[in-house]
Amino acid sequence: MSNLNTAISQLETEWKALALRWEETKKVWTDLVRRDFEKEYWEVLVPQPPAVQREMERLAQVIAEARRSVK
Amino acid sequence: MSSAHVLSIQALEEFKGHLTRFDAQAQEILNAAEIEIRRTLDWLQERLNYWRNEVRRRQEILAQAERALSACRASGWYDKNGYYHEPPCTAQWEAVRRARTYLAEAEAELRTVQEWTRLVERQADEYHRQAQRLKAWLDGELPKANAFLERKITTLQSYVAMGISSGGYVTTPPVQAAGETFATAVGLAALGVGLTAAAIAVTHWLATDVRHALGAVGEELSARLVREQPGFQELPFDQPKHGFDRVFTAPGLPLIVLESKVVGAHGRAPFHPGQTRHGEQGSPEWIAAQAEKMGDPTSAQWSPTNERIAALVKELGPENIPAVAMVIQSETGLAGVYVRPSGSDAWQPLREGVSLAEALAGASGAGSHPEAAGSPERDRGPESIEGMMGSPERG
Repeated sequence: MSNLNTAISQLETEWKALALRWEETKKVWTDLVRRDFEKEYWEVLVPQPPAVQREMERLAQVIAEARRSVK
Repeated sequence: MSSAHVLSIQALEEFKGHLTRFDAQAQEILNAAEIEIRRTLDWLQERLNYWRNEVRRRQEILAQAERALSACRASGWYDKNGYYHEPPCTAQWEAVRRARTYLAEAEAELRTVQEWTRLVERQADEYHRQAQRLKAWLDGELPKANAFLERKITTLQSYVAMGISSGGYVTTPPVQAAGETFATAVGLAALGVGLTAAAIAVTHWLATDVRHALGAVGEELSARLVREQPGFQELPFDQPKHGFDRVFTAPGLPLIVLESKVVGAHGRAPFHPGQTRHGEQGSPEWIAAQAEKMGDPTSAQWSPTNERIAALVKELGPENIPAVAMVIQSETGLAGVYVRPSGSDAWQPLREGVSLAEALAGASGAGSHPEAAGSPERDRGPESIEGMMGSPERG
């Protein structure tokens, strides 16, 4: 496994853990302030780690093919 | 203090911890990816250099082979008829053919490297676009998100420290809080229902504050009197030279700002708050400006305690914080209590014409303090205290 594949796997694990923790936090933090936090910070973050992971996976694929093709 | 607060504090602290961990891990992951990209591009560059050199080297081999072939072909002879007889030069022809193939292979490899370099660079650019967004969030927004959570945690911890059980703002907007309390009176002052007791309570408390200002009564008596008023609770606060005079809480109203002043003959009703460069004293703008200073470590108004109050102001929104003004007329010894309810810019009289002498007597009766009786300033009249509780220029 290349470093990039390790990075992809770690990013997925860390992001899942954080997203899970947020779901747990939401259960006890139910006021308007939480909605402000969610709108201002959390919802901005949410699409980013998966998008980075997708691009990282594509990059890993391209690099792997390059390694096979280039002598 | 409700268990919900404890749960919230724990949950927020844990989430903040996870957010911090995610920051560290994501930064490490992005760095690792960057290293891998760099290593790949370096390797491709090395391959590019190699095949460029190979092309040059093989071009030279081909040139040599072609020169050898030319020399061979030129080494023929002319017969008696003048015809030129070229030697077969088989080996030289073969060497040229091999050199051309050899060169073509290197050129193909060079094109392959160039093509994959372009592809890797293009995909690396796509990746960088996303990674930069995430990194920008981690570097720029995550500290703000953590500060937001920290303020929330601090606010909840303040509730824990203060033993406030309502936590009304967490789930209920202050204006929705109900009950026959001072908080209700402040929120619904215009109704004039049940205000007398609340006004007297405020007067007693503030009268105690007067005496505190005079040095006759200590903090302990003041705090005791406050605790004795139903619904009142003074919040820990380091009174700065400028800013709020006191802050307290009541069920359903987590924060109430108190302003007090002593006026002379000119200070007649209706009450007019002092003007400052941040707006009227006690106005939401003024409260917001004071909170900003109390939360700024470089400000003279800052202290850890005041930072908690500032965080509470921000959490609640300055427009949701009612203000109470106590105005003592030094010439008559009468006091008036005015409120600016949350969500309103208008000051309303809560109680006017309250005898300060009666209030002081009531305050003394409610909580005597050994130091009070022996104070040389105890018998000073209200006329001598003008300006000791804050002037309209304060702020």
